[in-house]
Formats: sequence, C-alpha cells, structure tokens
Amino acid sequence: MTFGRRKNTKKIREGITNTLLYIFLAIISIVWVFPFAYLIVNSFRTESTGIAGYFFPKEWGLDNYLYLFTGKDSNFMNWYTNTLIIALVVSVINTMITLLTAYALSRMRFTGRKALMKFMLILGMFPGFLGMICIYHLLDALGLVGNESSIFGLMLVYVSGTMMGYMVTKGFFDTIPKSLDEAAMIDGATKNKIFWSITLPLSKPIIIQTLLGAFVGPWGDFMMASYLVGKSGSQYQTVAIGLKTWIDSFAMYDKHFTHFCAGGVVVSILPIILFFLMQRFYVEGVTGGSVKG
Amino acid sequence: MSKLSLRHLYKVYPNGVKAVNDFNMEIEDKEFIVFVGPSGCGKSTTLRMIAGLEEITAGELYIGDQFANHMEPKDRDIAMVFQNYALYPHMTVYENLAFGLNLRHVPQAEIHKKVLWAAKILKLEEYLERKPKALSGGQRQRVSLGRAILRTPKVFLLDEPLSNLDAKLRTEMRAEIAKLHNEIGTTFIYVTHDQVEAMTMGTRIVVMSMGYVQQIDTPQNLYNYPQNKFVAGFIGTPQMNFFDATLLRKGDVVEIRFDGLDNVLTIPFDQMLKVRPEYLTGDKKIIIGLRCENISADAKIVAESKNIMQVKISHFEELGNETLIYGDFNLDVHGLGDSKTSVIVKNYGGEHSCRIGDVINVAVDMSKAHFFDGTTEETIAPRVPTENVFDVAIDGANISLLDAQIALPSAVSAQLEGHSVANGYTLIPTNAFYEGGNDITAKIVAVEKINGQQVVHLVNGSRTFFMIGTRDYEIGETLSLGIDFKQISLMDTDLNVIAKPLPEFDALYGAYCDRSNAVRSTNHLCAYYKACAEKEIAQVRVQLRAEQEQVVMADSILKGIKQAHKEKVIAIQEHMSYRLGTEDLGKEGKKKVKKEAEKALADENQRYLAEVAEFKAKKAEYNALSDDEKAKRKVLEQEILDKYNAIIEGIKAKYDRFIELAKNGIKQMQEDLLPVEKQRATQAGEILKSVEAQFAQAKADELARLEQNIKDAQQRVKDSTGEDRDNAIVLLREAKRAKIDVIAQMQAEHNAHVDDILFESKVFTAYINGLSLVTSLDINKKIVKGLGAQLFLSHYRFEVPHDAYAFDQSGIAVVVEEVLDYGREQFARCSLNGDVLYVKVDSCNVGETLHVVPDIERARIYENKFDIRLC
Repeated sequence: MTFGRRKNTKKIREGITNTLLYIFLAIISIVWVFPFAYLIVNSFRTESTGIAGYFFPKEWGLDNYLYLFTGKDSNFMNWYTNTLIIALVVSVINTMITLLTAYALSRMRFTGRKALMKFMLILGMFPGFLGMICIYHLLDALGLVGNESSIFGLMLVYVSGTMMGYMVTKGFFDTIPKSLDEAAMIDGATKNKIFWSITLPLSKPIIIQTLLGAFVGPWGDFMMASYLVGKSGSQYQTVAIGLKTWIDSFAMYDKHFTHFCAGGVVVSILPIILFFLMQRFYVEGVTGGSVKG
Repeated sequence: MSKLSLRHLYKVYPNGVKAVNDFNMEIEDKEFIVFVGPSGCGKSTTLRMIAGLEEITAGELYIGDQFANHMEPKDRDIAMVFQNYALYPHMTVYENLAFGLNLRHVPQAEIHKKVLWAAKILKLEEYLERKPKALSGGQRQRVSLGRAILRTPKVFLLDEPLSNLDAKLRTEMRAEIAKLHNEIGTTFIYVTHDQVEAMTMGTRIVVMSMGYVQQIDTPQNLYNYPQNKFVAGFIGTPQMNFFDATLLRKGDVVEIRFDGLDNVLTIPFDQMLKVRPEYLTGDKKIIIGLRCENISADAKIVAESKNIMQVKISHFEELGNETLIYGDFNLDVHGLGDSKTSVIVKNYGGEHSCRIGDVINVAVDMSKAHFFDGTTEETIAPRVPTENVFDVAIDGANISLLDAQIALPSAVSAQLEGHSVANGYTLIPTNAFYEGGNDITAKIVAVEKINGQQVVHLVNGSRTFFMIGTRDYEIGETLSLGIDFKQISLMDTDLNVIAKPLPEFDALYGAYCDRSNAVRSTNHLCAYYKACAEKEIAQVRVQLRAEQEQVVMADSILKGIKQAHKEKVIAIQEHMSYRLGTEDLGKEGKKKVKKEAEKALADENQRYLAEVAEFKAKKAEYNALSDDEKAKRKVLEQEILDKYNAIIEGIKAKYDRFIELAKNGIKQMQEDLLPVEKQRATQAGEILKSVEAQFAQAKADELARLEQNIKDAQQRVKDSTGEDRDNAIVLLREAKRAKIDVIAQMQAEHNAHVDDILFESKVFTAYINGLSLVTSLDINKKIVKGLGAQLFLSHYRFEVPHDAYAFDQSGIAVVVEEVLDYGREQFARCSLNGDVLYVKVDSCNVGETLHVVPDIERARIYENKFDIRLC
C-alpha cells in the first residue's frame, strides 16, 4: 500500500513539474519566434509600405520582394553582392587562419606556446568595439573609410582578429590521436602533408563549423560596417547598413518598412540554406576505427 | 637491415625527471629485441627515441653507421607499429597501406604489387576496399603491420602491438609476428609489458625498471641467471617465491635459515664460491628466490632429498597437466594472506591426494636457488664474478694466501699499521690477476664464455677462484699469476676493511666550451662550486648541531629540527607529485599514491613531534643545571663552535680558490685557443674552397647528364605512338622528377659535408682548474651531438685514470702528500686544493709540487648536473 501511494505521488509531482516547464517553454518560444513571424508576415503585406497596427496583413503579395530586386531606387542587389563577396572572402581566409593557428597550437611545442594561448584568451575577452576608434583612424589613414574601397577595409577588420577563435578548433584537433601524426611522420610525410592529408580530412565537422561561423559573422555584422561603410555611397554598402537606411527616419519608415522586412527575409535565407547543406557533415565518428578508443 | 647502436642514451624531461638512464646496447642485424618492464619504466620512451618521435637528451644513436640523433623519423628508414594501430580512418585499407609508398614516389604499378604482396602475407586481401572502421581489432593490427613491412625498413619498431587484443588473438598474432620476423629478416624491436610475449619472441630481452636497464640477455639466461630480484620476479610465471633468509658458512657447507622458520637447509660451499663472504656470516639479510618448479612435492624426490620443508596448503590451481599448490612454510599461518613465507609449488601430473589445510613435505632444490642482497636486491652470486674472496692470515707486511706467502708492497702494508690478523679475508677483483707474476700458481679447470667475457676457473689446492681471461686458454694449463695490489682490499675477522684499494679514477671538475662561450660556461661551473660549498657546509652544520646538542641546548637546534622537518615534508610532496606526473597509474593507483604520501606525512609529523618533545625535555634538564655547570658547558660549546667554524671557513676557502682558478684562467684560455682557432679556420677555408669547386663541377656534370636524359625522353615521346608513347611519357615524367630528386639529394649531401667541415674546424676545450685542454674531434662530436646547445649550460666531471697524466710546467699544480709504492707501480697521492689525486709516477718526493696535465682522451666525461655519461 505504502509503496503504491508513494509511486502515485511521484507521478503527480512529475506531471506538475512537466506542465509548468512546458508552459514556461511555450512562453519563451513565443517571445522568441514572434519577431521572426512578424517580419515574415509583414514582408508579404501589400496594402501599405508603412508600419501597421495589426499582425495579419489584409492583402498578401510578393510586391515587396519584387521591389527589392527591380525597384528603381533599390540598391539591394548591390548590397547583397557586396556582403556576399565580403562574407565569402572573409570566411575562406578566416577558416584557413583559424585552422592553421589551432593546428600549430595543438601539435607543435614551442617556447611561449602556453603564454601565447593565455594571451590570446585574455585578449579575446575584450569586446571588439573597444578598438573601434583605433581601427577607424587606422583605416581612415589608409583611405578605406566611407568610400568605394571601404569593403576592403571591412574585410581587413574581419580577418585581422580571427586567430583568437582558435580555441574550439584546437580542442577538436586535440581529439585526433597524435599517433596518427606520428605514423604519418614515420611513413615519410612532412608536417605540411600531415596537415593536408591526415588532419584536415578528419576535421570536416570543425571546418564546417569554422566556415559557417566565419561566414555568418560578416554577413550580419552591423557595428563595424556602420562606421566604415555607413558614409559610402549607397551602392557600396552592405545589407545590414543598406537596410538600416530604409528605416532611418519616419519618412523612410512609411515608404520602406515592408521592403525592409522582405530584405530581412531574403538576407536570412542564404545562411539557412548553408546550414542545411552543411549539416550532414556534422556526422559523428569520423575518426572511427583509426585507433583503439 | 642493419645494426643499431645505442650509446649512453638519456631522456631527461624539462622538469628534471629522468625517463631513461644511460641506455647502452648494441643491436645486431636481424635480432628480435624485446624491451620489457612495468608501465612507466621508460621502454616506450626508448623506442620513441629510436623512432625519432622523442628527442634524445644525451647520448648517441646510430642506425647502421649513421648518427641518427637529429634525423627526421622519415629519414631513419624505420617502420613502426603503434599500440592503438594508428590507421588513417578516412582511407581504405589499400590506401592506408599505400600511403607511405606514395609519399616516397614509388611508381603506382609497384605500389600495387607490393600492397597485394603484403595483403597476401597478412591475409588481408578481402578487406582492401574497407575502411578501418569496418575491421576487427586483429585485422586492424594486421593492416598496421602491413603498412610497416611494405617499406622494407632497416628497423622494425613495435610498441605494445598486441595489448589491445584479446587473449586468443594475442597468441595468434604473437606467432604471426614471429613468423614475419623470420620471413622478412629485419631487425625487430618490440616493446611489451607482458613477460610471456618477451620470453617467447625475443632473441634478446632488455628488462627495464624506473628508467634503468636491469638486464640485457637471452630469455634463457634471464630465467636462469637473473641479475636482481626485480628481473627474477618479473620473468617467469607463476612468480618466483622469495624468502628473507641468512646464510652461514660452516666449513664446506653453507647453512640457510629462513626468517621466522626453524628449518635449516644446506648447500655445499662449492656452489657458493661466487658469493662474497660478508653474506656468509649468518647476520646479513639476503633474499632467496626459488622457482616453483624447483620445489617438488613428488614423493620420490622428497625421499631422496636432504633439503625438506613442510608446507601447509591454502589452495590449489589445477591446470590439467600440472597443479599449482599455494601454501606457506610457516605452519601457523592461516588463510590466504600474503605472508613472507608463502610459497607456490608446482606439482606435475595434475593429480594430488591432499586437501586444503594439509601439511605436506616438499623437497627444495637449493642448487637452483637465487640469492639477492637484502637491501640492494642485486644478486650476490653474479655469473661474471667481480671479486674473489680468500681467507688470509695477515702478518704485518706479509699475507699467506692459499699455499703462498706473499710480501705486501709498502703502500698496502703501511695501511695495516703492523696489524696481524690470523683469520682475515682479502678481496681480489677478478681482473686484478696478471700472468707472468709469481705471487700464486693455479691450474685452469674451466673457461666460461659469458656475454663476450671469459671467466677462467682456476684451482689452487682445493680452492676454486676466478679471473677474467684475456687470451685463449687450455684446460689443465698452469698459470703463474701476479696480483695487482692496488686493486685488493684486506679485511679483519669481523670484515672491517683494514686496507683499501686505490680508487679507479680521479674526479676532476671543469667546464667544456669554445672561446666565445668561455665566460658563460665558467659562470655555470662557478655556480656549481658555490652550490657544492653550500651543500658541504650544510652537512657540517648538521654534525655541529649534533655535537652542540651534547653540551648545551641552544634554540638553534630547534630551528634545525624544524628546518629538517620542512624539507622532509616538501620531499614527500614532491615525490608524490613526481609519481603522479610520470607514472601511468590509473584512478586507483593515484588514490594509492596519495594515500601513501598521506601516511608518510603523518609518520613524519609524528617523528617531528617526538623529536621536538625530546628536545624540550633535554632543554628542561639543561635549564635545571647549576649556573657553574652551565658556564662550563658554554665554554665547551664555544670550543665546538670554533672547531666547526674553522672547518666551514676551510670549505669556503677551498671552493673560493676553485672559483678563483676558474675565473682567472679565462683570459689565458681564450688567448691559447685563438691561434688554434685561426689555424683551423684557415685550413677549413681552403678545404671548403676545393670542396665547393668539386661540388660545382659534379653538380654541373650531373645536371647535364640529367638534362640529356630528359631531352632523350622528350625525343622518344615525339617519335613514338600508341602504347609506346604512353610508356615514353611515363619515362619522361620520371626523368624530370629524377632531375629534381637527384640534385636535391646532391645538395643535401654537400650541405652535410660542409657542415661537417665547419664543425671539424671548431675548437672546444675542457677547462679544468684554470687549465684549458683542446679536445679531439671525437670528444667534441660526442659531447656536442650528445648535449646540443645544453653543453654550455652544464659543468662536467672528468674521471681520469691514474696513469693518464703528463707532466708539464703549464699543468695543474698539485702537491705530493704521500708516495704509494705498489711494487710494480708507484703513485703519488697529491692534494689539489683539498681534493685528492693519485698520479702514477716513476719517482718523486713528498712535498714536491707536480704539474700534471690530464689526458682528456682517456678520461670518462660526465655531464655533472644530471650525471649523464658522455664518453
């Protein structure tokens, strides 16, 4: 009897906890999803281009999207291409630098290695905007602020601090058994060869992760871009800055709010596709069978 | 296929931990060497040093005739099999096998042929297209073996290749590896912690423990003649039985008494000739090792044997054809607990009629017993004996040894101070006999050849003794032997040494450097002298405290006790963290180590508190004394203080003098070296010029030849069609690659040659007490190769033989304190600023100053900080 009652109480208690948890989670998810839903819904609103006091549009259509690509005063295509170029170039360079740094720190033993790692860790704790003024003046001196070549300035900024993000990648490299390197060394491989033909093929997940991270960073960056390309001509801006000009003032707001929403949706599509494409590389057990675990 | 030579190999980690100590071994072609030992003994480290995966701290490694310390692993022409297989997971078995060959640009067709060959040998043909993930453990290990044999390397290294396999597979693979060794006939070096693997596979086995080589020998010899208790216990299953015991010689027999038992076993003294006499007195602790097959429960054997013991059975292990009986010699012991007299007996036949708790008689074959020292655990009856012990009667300047009356040389008899001992002993090293003397005569009864040494068994009267042979002998030959008296020692009846042998070497300390690093090296040497002084003074202070304590109870004594306690605590903690850091202990082991450390700390604390309490009691006692008495004691204390202060001042002065000598000589040394350096540089310059010219010519010729080859190949491509053309294209590609490879190879060889010439022109010096001695190329190579850039940060010990001194006015000034006459030779005992040197002289007088120049070429050179032998 006692046993049965105890079991019952346990069940009830679990039920209550679960219900409360789900309620809490539901609220959180609504809060979290709402902006996205609002953005998407508004991007299909065609009855006006300004902000509306209701959620569901009265008329649905693709006008806003058409405007993005064909509108007379829309520079969206330019912004998109600029951003894409920046993100692609930066992601490739960043990934390379990160991988090389992480490999060196994981596999080579040199004086000052630990000190360097700690130094980078501490340096990484300072937010990037602390260097904003410095960076501005430096790039200004190089003639890379607020003009047609500013996107190169942006690339430079994005690329320069990359190796700080070596930690995760190094952690991954550390899990690849060192005896593989040693076996390859004895087989006659140079360090270079080991990196390219042994370590990299085994590091697909972390390469993808680094690549995506490095792509999404510049893709959605507003802060750095705002002061480097904010004053450039409209066609030299990135999407984040460009779209922002559409909601800069009440006048613009009324004219472009739905366009802005459509732009936001278009901008998020590419990273989503990328994530889906690359996801399959995140398979586990890439090193299965190499060494006895 | 080649020889391997490991000379004085050391591995010292940056934190000072020595993983491998003075590893010396010559490995012949086609040998199967096994390194065996418990985990953390340095066997894998040694293997990795051979492979080039671990840097060699000091010592020399030769693969073939090539010095290989700094070679890249890929250039050493070795292959290695890893414990965890280390297969490339993203490649198929075929690709895994072909990887190494691809890197070496072997033509694809040949790679294909070789891979199939290896796959056939290792029965992997069906799995070539699989990835390692889809293979079983045994198959993976076979792939790993295949990868290694494909390249037909000079040396084959295997690092615990079977320890990840299950027992059945392990046995199978063991046989396969042994077969492989026979088939491909390469030198194998195999690391394992499993003694069964070692015993079944190796032609020679290296047993290691705690970074030291314990013994190198064939499996049979390791089993029959273990050099210490560790080897004895490690080799053979079940483990050897060990008992604490004492030996007592009674005339022709030696009695053996086990600790805690009343039984007395005997063994004829004839079989114990190689045992040193101090072990036969009945009071020195020894350990007896008996293998279970030498203890028999067989009724027939028991009936015939004289050495019978009783065993109380605690349990059995039946193995089918034989039974292991576990029991205890001590009949009062109950249960399975590990007592010091527990014993395992092997009973063949597998049938037995006794039960647990029964007491049975067993016969102990003492002729197969092993004897080890109770504290050092080294064997006390080595196969190659180092000394003979004789009963002697010492009468002032004469001894009667065997049937001879021998007059002692004055250097020995002076030490006796007219002592007469009727039943004394003398210890004569086996290499202290020389032929052609007329001290004793003896007949050869046997000659044993052991590991390249000849042990000659000699008989004089009824006594057998040994000497190390130097030529071919005939059995029955009679030798007239002389004794080298500087090596013998004499002992009185109680085994107190009354005449000591001359030490083998004189130790001189110094720096080793070139001109530009002279100051730096000397500073390190001086720092060492300072440390020495501090250490000696600390020791003196301990003595001072002990004496002081007898007189007064000063508070400084309490301070000393506290200091000693602190040091002990730190030592215990360091020892613990050292073990945690270096040994592969696992979770349980770590806990155990921590627990041990805690126990040691608690013990130390208790000891400390007891000591403090004792001090306080004494102090109270002292305080209770009358004032007069206290004053008297104070005076006494002052005397002691004065005495010790003088000693401390003396030590300080001695090392200050050494430091002064070292510092003042730098300028002179640099001046001495400059002309030699200049001369060698000019020489090297000339040689280099001609070498460069020759190389340029050779390179041009070779280039022309190779380019002609390419042109020919190009022509052939143009001229041919169809299949011929394809072949021609392949040839052309090879010709082009050959051009790059050959020229690169030539350039590398040339660079190495130039480096050699430049190195040979360098001038290094051994800088000893202000005297600089230019060292030979041979020594330079050994030290520079052995230590690398570390060499300037070290100080050195030069162990010089007594006859390796030349006399020259520029030499080190030493004062003759005594002339030792050993008959054939004379030595001057000289004082070098408080240190003692023995210099071989023809004649000299006491008080005379000699200027000696040690012959560095004949000295043993040690790096002093880590005690690393360099040459």
